[in-house]
Amino acid sequence: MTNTEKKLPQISAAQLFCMLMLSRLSAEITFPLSGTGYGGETLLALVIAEVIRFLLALPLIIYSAKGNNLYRAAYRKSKFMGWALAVIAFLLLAGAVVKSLFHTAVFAQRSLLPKGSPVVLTLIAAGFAVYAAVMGAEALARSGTLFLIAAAVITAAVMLADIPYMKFDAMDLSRSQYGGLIDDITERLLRGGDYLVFAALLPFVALKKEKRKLNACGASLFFALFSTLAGIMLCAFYCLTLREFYGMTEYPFFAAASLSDIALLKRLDGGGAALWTLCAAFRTGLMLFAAWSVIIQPIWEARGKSAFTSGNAEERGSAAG
Amino acid sequence: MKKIISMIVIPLLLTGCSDNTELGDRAIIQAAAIDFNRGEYQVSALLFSSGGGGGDTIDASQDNVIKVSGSGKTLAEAIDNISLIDGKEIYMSETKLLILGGGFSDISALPALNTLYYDMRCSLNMPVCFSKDSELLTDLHFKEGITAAEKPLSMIEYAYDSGAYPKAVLLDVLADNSGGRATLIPAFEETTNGYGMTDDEEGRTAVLSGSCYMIDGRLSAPFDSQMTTGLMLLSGLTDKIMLNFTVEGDSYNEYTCEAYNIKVELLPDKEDMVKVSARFRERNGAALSEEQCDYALAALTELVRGAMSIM
Repeated sequence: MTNTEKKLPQISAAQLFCMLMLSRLSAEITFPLSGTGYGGETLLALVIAEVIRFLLALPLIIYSAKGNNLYRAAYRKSKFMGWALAVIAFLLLAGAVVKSLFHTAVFAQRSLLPKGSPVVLTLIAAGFAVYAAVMGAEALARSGTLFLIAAAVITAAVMLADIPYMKFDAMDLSRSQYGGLIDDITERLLRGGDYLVFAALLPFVALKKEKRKLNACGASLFFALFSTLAGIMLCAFYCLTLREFYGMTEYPFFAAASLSDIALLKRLDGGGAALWTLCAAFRTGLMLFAAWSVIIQPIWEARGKSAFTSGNAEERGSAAG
Repeated sequence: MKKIISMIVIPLLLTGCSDNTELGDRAIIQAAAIDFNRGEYQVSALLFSSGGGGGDTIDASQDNVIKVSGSGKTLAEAIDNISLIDGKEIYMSETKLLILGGGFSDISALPALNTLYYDMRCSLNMPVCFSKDSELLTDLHFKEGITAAEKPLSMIEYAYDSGAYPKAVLLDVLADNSGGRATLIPAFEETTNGYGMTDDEEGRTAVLSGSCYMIDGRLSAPFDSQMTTGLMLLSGLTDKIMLNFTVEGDSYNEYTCEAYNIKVELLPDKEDMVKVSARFRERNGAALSEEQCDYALAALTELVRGAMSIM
């Protein structure tokens, strides 16, 4: 590494896992439901969507586990292929950014500020996302971990507070309706993008070359497992608490949080909505940073920057260019 | 650069203050009664009034609860009228009790309930009850309880815990409607019972008298307490009740016992047949004799069968 090149921001595999989990959970909670499924259908759709997502991302995970930077490696193999891969990933992530931004603003307005201006809310979320992306991988990693902890605490509080309202016979899967299974699966798949973020952030992960395979695979497998488990847990919570009303509400977490009644805090829907709005804005920033990351790599490769080589952190150049 | 960004961002974050309302300018509704009569929604609400005695403390005994009524072609219009009459912005997120009137036996209450949840931000755990005269509970000035809705609420809670009457919250109604099920809702009626419960000099008060079903948003005719108990047992809403029974040859004495661990199993192959099992004990916990248990079980089975004609 030359003296003129800045040191690459370093994040740990655990931080990467936290960011991916936060991204997935914020999409689950802040994106509106459009289906009317309930019970067995939603659980089945969730599991199928997770499996499809993982299988689609498997080649990416395996390739990344080998310690190579996918986009640079593709560029070195074929400039056209490298650019095509980077541009496709960029467009997908850019679309995810716009979608995430839109849903963040809508969620904030519907749950927190019904009379608020959607334009102003969108601008605030966009400003937050841009600032988060500009601050870089390390700032995103540190703040993402903190946000995940805070979000987990309030979500756990809502679940515990809603225990008296749970009806366990509501999980009778024989009463499920399966009319909209395909639509439900499609909707869940369109909330994704996390594996693209994974591929984009992987070069920033501080790993020793010899341990890279294990950590890369471990982070992605842990994410696949825990995101599925978290999704199942949320789905089961909504079914037990809201029953058929689950399919009638846009934001089931917000509805379930309105049931809670904890001492001085009373209803947790306001606090929960505020925190998850923040997490959704973080997701937007994370996606924006990932989009920048994938498009900049072939440019750096073309310029001959000695960055993002296979697994050796010291050979990486500046992320800021 | 950071200072410039902060100077731009911070004012944007204050947009939440642009449409603020002082707490004193909010009409905090504690209980709301809605009815539909002559083509109009009629709403009467109990509001916290900071102008009464007791200052800023909600205290029903200090006359700081006021009743305001409004009407309109839609529920939202009726609530807006209350807002205009009271001169404050309505706040229904803390509404503790919703009373539905007899007018909803002819039309569906679901549009009103959807307005209450989606637009007025009522909590999903807001209890719902029925009274033929919807303004019964809002006219009575209960003296007990911190809020005016607390007395009826405690009646509902206690009755539900003892298995006498059902308890339904807004979530139950919306979820059951979505699932194509009927919701059993407790019913109040007027009575004259003692002195001191309310401000009324003649001892006028309200008491739980039974229940009614809400099916597709419409209220059925009310059921008496016996039928209500049977319906609760059939629906699985309770598994313990206080039961009265007589012993053959002793028709002068009626016994009361507690029936618990009640299990009701419908036998679809056999018309009008139901299998009931339960345990019985006296109020003080002492065991009943075998003969008494048999008679108690017979009375319990008869109670459940009586409710089957409704199901």
